Amino acid sequence: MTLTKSYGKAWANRQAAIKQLTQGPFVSAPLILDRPNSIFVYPSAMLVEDHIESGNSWAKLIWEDSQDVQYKETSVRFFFAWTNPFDYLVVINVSADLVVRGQCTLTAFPGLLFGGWTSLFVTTQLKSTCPELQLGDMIKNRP
Amino acid sequence: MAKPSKSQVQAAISAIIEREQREGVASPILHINESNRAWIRRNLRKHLDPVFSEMGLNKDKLEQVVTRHQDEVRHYLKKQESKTAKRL
Repeated sequence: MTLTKSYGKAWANRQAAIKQLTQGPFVSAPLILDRPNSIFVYPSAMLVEDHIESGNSWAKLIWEDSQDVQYKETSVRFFFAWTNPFDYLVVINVSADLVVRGQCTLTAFPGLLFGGWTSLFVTTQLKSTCPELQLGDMIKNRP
Repeated sequence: MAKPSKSQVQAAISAIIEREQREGVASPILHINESNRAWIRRNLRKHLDPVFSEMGLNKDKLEQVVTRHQDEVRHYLKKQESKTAKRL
């Protein structure tokens, strides 16, 4: 996705959210989700143990990969779901607190013409899905 | 509106995972570097200000609400801190 497209998408999302705020009385409430609905590990073989509990959900992973392969990804994801119980649209503003403990080593070797690269991300994403439409997938960043 | 069942929520999560595996991309946003993301945030802030006024919304009031909620969340996290520290 290009920067222009990303900006366009973020701009459209924010505008829609602001417009929505004008559609009815303004009511707001904080909501804390401290228990994930599921933990997804890919590849699943690196999962040693996982645990789901309010405020204490974790996954233990061990993975070693020394093969130089393009675009290989491994991930552990904690899914927190919230379903809108109302008959009207809501505007949500999301933040997340993540704790990571352990050891992770990433090595990228220089090539003759093209060097290798590795990266490690700790990210939070918000995805909205609409069951009636199967999947309306939209990524929003916290403003 | 009927509350979705646990299995419906699980199905929605599975659909997200399947789609990402099919398309081979974890998240488009990960392909934008941090400085560009900061640029997007900065510009959105600047460009959205007039939209708030246009729509007749008091941006300061909304920001106060967001700040109040953030304080409540911080307070909750602070309360949880000792428990979390023990677990780690």
